[in-house]
Amino acid sequence: MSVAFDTLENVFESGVWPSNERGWRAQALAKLQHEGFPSKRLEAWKYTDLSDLADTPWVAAVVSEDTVPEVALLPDTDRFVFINGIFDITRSSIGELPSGVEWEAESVAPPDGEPLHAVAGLNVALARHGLRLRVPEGVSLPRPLEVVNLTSENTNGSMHHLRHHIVLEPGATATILEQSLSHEATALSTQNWTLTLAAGANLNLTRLQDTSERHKQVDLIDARIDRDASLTANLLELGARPGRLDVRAQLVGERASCYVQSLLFAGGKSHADHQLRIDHLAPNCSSRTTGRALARDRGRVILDTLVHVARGADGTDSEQQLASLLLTPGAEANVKPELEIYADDVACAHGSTVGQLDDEAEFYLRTRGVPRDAARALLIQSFVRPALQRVPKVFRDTVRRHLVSRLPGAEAMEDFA
Amino acid sequence: MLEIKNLHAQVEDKPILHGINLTIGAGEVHAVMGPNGSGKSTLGGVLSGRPGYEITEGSVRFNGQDLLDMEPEERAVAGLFLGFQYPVEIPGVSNAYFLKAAVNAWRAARGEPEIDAMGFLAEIRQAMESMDLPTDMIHRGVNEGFSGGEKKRNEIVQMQLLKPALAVLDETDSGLDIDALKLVSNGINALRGPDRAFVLITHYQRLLDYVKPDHVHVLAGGRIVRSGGEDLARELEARGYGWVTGEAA
Repeated sequence: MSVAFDTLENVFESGVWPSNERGWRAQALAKLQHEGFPSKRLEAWKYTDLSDLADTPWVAAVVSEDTVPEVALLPDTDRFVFINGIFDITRSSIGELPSGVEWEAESVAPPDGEPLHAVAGLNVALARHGLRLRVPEGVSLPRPLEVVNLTSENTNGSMHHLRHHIVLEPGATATILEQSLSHEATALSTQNWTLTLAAGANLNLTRLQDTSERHKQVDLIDARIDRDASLTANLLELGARPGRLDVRAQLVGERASCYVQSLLFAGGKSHADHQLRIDHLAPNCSSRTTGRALARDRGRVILDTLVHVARGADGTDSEQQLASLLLTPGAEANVKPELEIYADDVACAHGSTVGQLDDEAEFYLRTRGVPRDAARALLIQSFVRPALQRVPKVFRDTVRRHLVSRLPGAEAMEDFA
Repeated sequence: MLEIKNLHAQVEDKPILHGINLTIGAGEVHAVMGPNGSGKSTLGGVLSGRPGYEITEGSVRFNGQDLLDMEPEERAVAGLFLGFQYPVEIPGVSNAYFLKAAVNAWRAARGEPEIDAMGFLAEIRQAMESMDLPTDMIHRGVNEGFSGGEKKRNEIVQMQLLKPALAVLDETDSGLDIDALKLVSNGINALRGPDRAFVLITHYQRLLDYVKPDHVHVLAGGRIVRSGGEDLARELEARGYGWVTGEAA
């Protein structure tokens, strides 16, 4: 048995778990020990081998007066701040919510089915806190919710986990911005989202992962979308090595819809990997997947998307448009849209491109007086723009500014923004 | 204003220009004509600093500066404008943003403050209307989804807003119908003045019916083989390029 599994057992045994949770937690841990951390022998982990996680004796991160990363907070939101996997009430601020809205941040819900992969099992076994939210029928949340997932400075060799559970009752509406940030510690964090959208519900979830190059973040979004409900997910993966996100969106009721915008950027030695799967399980559902992947230096981006149309899901309308851009030699992008169709009457499109910046466009801008670096920055921004189009207006500028600050040519753009 | 001396240039080791000599004074309009493959577009590319050209001999001075030593953006803000034969589409960067970035780059080079955004928008709108372009194009991507003719007219819009000292227009007339040709010509004529010069690179004489050149040059085989007044253009149209290129051979 590897180093990690011995210590994981210790971490688990020393945890204070409610007695009714011990069973499913122990079960998830046993499954992980049996399967091991995913290695590149598995197709879904071909580019992101996590088997070396087993070489580190991960300890549970502790909460202390440790320094936490700076985060650009939004005005007028309900904010849930988690530090090292633990809810921090003092940094959070939750205003009055409409009657019937229930939330809880210092516990997790029991798992709903098998974990989607081994690291998700680790999360099930060890996550203590997370946002649990239920929005009752017909209620729209008055403000965006912010979920801030911070890893503090002195967390080398430690891990922490969050598990969120969002339930929107029929016709309910919510907007969520999740930000994950860290310092330069070698820490592991996992975050699982379970999203349940009842008939006609509407959720817009924006994720901004920008942890350090030494941070490891392995997250999951598992969504069930019922009839006439709609999920919009804007997924920005800007840091970590690896920053891995698996999404499973199941369209289970008629006319459900799902819009996923993925934006990956890996600079330095970062490694960003999105595995997106949309299951069309009912008739007349629609889905759109827009992916933009950029890499520079020794960075690596992976974007695999799959639209699966089940038997009987006639009238499916889906489209996957992926594009990648390599900014320097040595950077790498693996982008692959896939379709699996078992129904007859469907309209499914998919395409992907791999490219470099358009030299002619760069020259065109320069002949108009725009300096080279600013021209390149402008073209990079135009490349990523489609991935931001569904970020809610209330915080689109905040997200865009953050993104631009991380993209090449940020300084060059200052004069032009 | 512009002094080209014995200019030799090549692309991927293939010599294209074989010693161009051309002097352009302020206020002048020069037409550079010639058959396909004569080096017309190469001349435009070399003047604007297009990557891929190697200058093997000669010099170009622009208002006293060594033009060949300058980056494309430096040439631009020094007052040189290139109208593209094939203007580029840049989806995701709006025309308004693009034009503002360009004008502010020019202003910054002259030590002027940034342009007032609202006033500038009105100026763009006016320029677009004068070129008969729908003003909703202001907020669309640069040249995105524009027809060939619209792209060419958009080049003139940019020229009108940037007010360059020297405009090199590379086959701006190609692909234009007669109405668009008149609009483009009006745009050029409106900018003519004692401080401004134009180089009209063109294959056909018809643009020169509307924009009267002071000088006409015939480029063939990478050299200027004949220069003259506007009559030369008409004679070329009547007799074909073989008349002068044959003479040169």
